[in-house]
Amino acid sequence: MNRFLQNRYAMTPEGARDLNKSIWWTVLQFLSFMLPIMVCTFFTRDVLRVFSGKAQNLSWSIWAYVGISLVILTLIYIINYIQYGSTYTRIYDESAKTRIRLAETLRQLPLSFFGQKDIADLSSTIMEDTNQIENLFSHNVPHVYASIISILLMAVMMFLFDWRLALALFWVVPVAALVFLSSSRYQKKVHTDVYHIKRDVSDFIQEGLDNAQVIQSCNEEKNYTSRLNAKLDAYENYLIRTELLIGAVLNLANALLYLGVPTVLICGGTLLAQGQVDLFTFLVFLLVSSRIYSPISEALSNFAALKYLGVRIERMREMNNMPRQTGKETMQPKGYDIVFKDVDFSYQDDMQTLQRVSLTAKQGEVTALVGPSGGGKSTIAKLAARFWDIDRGRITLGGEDISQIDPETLLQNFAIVFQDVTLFDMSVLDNIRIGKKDANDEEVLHAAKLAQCDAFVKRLPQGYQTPIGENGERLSGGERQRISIARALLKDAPVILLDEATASVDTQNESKIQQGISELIKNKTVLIIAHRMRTVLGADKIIVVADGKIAESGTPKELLKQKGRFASMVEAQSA
Amino acid sequence: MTQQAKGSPKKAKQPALLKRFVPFMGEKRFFLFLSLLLSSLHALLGMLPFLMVWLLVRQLLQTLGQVQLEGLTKYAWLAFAAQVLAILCYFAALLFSHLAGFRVEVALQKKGMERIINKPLGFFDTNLSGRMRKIINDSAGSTHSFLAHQLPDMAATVITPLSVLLLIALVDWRLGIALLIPILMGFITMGGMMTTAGKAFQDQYLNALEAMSSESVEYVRGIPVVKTFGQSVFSFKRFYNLILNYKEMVYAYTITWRHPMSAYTMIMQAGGLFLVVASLLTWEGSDSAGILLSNFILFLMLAPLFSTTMMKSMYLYQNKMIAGQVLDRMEGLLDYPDMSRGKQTQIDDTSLAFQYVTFTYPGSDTPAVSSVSFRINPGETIALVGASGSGKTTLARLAARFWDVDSGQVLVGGVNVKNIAKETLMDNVSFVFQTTRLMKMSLRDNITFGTTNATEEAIQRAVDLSQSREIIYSLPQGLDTIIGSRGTYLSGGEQQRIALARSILKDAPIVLLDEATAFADPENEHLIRKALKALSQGKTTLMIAHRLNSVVDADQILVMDKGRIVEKGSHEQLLQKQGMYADMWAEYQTTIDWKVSSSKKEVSA
Repeated sequence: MNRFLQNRYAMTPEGARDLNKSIWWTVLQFLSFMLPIMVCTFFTRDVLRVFSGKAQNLSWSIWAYVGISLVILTLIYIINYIQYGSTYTRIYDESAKTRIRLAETLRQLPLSFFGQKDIADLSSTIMEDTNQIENLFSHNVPHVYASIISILLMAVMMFLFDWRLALALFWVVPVAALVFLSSSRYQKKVHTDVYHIKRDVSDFIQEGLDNAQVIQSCNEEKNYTSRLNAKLDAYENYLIRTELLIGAVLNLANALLYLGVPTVLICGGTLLAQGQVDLFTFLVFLLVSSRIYSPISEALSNFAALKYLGVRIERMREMNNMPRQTGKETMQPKGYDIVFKDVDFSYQDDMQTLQRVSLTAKQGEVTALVGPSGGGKSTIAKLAARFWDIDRGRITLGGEDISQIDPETLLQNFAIVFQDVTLFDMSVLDNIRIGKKDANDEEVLHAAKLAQCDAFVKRLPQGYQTPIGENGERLSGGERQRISIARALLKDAPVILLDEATASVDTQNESKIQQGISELIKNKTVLIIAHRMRTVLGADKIIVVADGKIAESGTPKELLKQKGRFASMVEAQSA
Repeated sequence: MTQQAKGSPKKAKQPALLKRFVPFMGEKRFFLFLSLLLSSLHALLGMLPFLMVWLLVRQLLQTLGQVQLEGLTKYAWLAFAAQVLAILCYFAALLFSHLAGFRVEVALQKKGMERIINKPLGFFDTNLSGRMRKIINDSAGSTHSFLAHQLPDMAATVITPLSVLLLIALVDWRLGIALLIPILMGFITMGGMMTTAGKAFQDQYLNALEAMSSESVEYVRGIPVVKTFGQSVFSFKRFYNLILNYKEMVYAYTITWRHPMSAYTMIMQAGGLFLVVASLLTWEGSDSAGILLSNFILFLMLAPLFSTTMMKSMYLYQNKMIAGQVLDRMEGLLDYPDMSRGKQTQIDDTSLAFQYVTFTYPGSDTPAVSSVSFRINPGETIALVGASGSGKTTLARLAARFWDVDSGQVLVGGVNVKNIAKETLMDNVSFVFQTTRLMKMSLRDNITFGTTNATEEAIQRAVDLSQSREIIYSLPQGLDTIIGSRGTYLSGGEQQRIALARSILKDAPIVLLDEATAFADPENEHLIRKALKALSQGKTTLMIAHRLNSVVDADQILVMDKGRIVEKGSHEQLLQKQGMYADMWAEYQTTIDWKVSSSKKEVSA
């Protein structure tokens, strides 16, 4: 049982054991609820005996009943107390372990994952998943299993008592369950179709919201509205054709169960009249019929709530199975030349992003990657810092193969200044301090000054101590860039990866950002992704990347003389 | 133990939830009523089987042994029929409630979007499209769900307890009281479960949950940075601690419910035992034992109805709150004031003028522009320069009537913008701002959007002038390629150029443009610039400039600072003044000359 639970729900052995325990305590709890009924049936039989003259007095006095009641109630209390402890509490241990495991996994994913928007959504979904799973395991899962076990036990008991009346009692259960499960399955199928239509409507609404300016500017409001209304009408009709019946039937399944009561009446009455069953048996079945359907109904709905559990668990499994990057945690590079040798790489299986790329970025030099967008230049820069693992070839830093080195160790040698800057809800000073964890205030302020941060920080209410707010919403693009440059300056790493577009983020303060960048790249190995050709005319080497291959390579002077791609790009941009 | 929805601030008393749906339902509003009616019938009919049981058992006990078969089966079949009828009523109620749900879901979106799409353009400034979409989606989903599934249960939560009470009162009130005592005790326990200590634990737990959730977002978001700076271990540690903290808090909170819940469960199971004791107390001898027993059986069968109804009504209440909140949010969104509609369809010429215009953004206390006056003659180009926040973007948007000015007037073609009919204004003014995107239709349709009867020649010309020719060539189906399908997406810069083709085709005499559009694509900035130039050729143009080389040829440059015009003149005139503009120009020159270089010498010119 433990192994079954472990596998099905991706739990640790302790987690499975706890779940097992909670299931059995819940079974005991359900059984304890039968005790009061048993007292009632005992009382009924007693009264019948007296009533039919078979006995003079009731066998038990009122005090006996009171006494028994107190004992039973105490028992129920105790069992409940223990059951509560076993269900609602153990799960949190397991949950914490799951979250920690998830956090560890995320930490070890390649940097490239975090550049995609999907991963941020995925991660928040996964965190939400653990919350949902936590809820389901504390409430629904033990109840479903316990219900099944208890109901089976009850069924066996009732069948042993009188199989004919038991049939009358239980015939509705498989019928209702069948109706429920098959309409549930049908609904899932319909749901997928509905999902697409719904998505289409929702996307059209999004498009309207995104393009409201254009729509109004082109006087197209009426057209848009009538197109949307048509889509919505079609959606409503589709729902009526497909979901209406199914939705109603699904909700009905529970109500079907209650047909059992009149069935027992009919059956019991007939059998009674034929003398095939005694009054006491009949009454017992009546009583049971009034109590048994609501727990069954609850079990069905709990079961329904579990339907998404599988999906969530699967998502978590996928997450845990994602490829992680590992490697040596020490490195001794001999210098800081970056060398690519015959590198092949593709993002997806059918597209070859880079083909047989070979290049050298020499230590202490500025190497510029230029080329049409999508040609591969930013990929090359990122591969140098092991954002992904390549398919073929070798990339070395100072002679060491980077694929063998733990990413965080490798990154110690890099300072990266790209357009996306992540800021934290701490002070400006602490945000910059991320560049070097143990830096003292002096060092941080020095780096900030060189990055031209003083100009805007002095306008903030608390200067460098001003908290930035969530992801630095209050700062402009140019101010964020300067913080990013300050971090890089503080880190003082030997290799700089730079996207030149960062300078033009803020045209007003462009010159300040440029100053910061110039300071940053002094005496370092620089790999810069350039968009404006005039900025790289002073570089030591230009590499033109197009269609995933190296098209040209040389000093600016050489390439201008060649009158190839670089030369034509320079000319086009200066027009 | 239920998760409580976060409380919303006290609002003005809202009409009953169901009434709020009525305006959206059109002719189908009777479905609400029908569903309630049918579900009430279902609840009432559902009581009949119990009645039949009681009558049957009474008869049985009276005759004891000499059972009349038809007598018995009469009751039994009546009960069965009543139950079947009840189920049919419930089914019908569900059908109507589902239809109502579908209708409301659709109508909310229709009405909502119709109002939104006609809101003043300033509305889209304050409200992010993603957030709006979520509000619309949520309101549609929640109301559908509430109506379809909860509505049929609403009647039962009132009718069932009432009918049980009635039955109890009529049959044997003494036994009835015995039944009600544990129910009442149950209510009291439920109510009293939230002690102040319990509340404190709940707050701690909710805070811990909130802290952990927001940290998880920060953690994921921050991983690329902390990895790059070798600090992922520390960031992980912080998250780790919050995870453990949450575990402690939720455990502590859950434990506070342990005794109360056990007590509650115990009480709710005690009904039968109370009945037994009460029956013994009211025992009047073996003759009336038959009646007593039949009453006992009835009440024992009725008891579970209370707890199931209570559960249902709790559930109902929660969903009702959520549906109400969701509707509130939707109404809040639509609460934005509409603009007055002008009527004039003629303008005198193609000039654009501002006269003493002052405007403050809603929610701000300093004016974004103060007493700004200038005039652009037909065919002229005026450029606005200045620091961000100086008001230049605001001016351009006021010209397109994104908002109405607080004082002064904006004159388009000599007519106050407030008096021009919206269609006329839009026909005469083109604006190219940064948020332009393409829609999911063919490139051709995107370009001809808003222009009727465009000739093929005109379209091709627009394509060329907007420097989009190479984009069209690179796509297999050229102009007929549909954006968004099969992963056909254009880059930001490419989208800008197609959008410019659209504006060029529209050929409006007055053009408002934000030069920042060019920066969407640093590689092809020069192409977008060419397109912008083609667009404003011969038109009355108001340009928001960021790079000073684009304003050199403007007829006039307005230098803005903190919402006011501080300098005015042509490029040469302003350089001579040696004021703010001259400084900006000097600074700009350094950025032009900047180069990345490994040499140690100074880089700036």
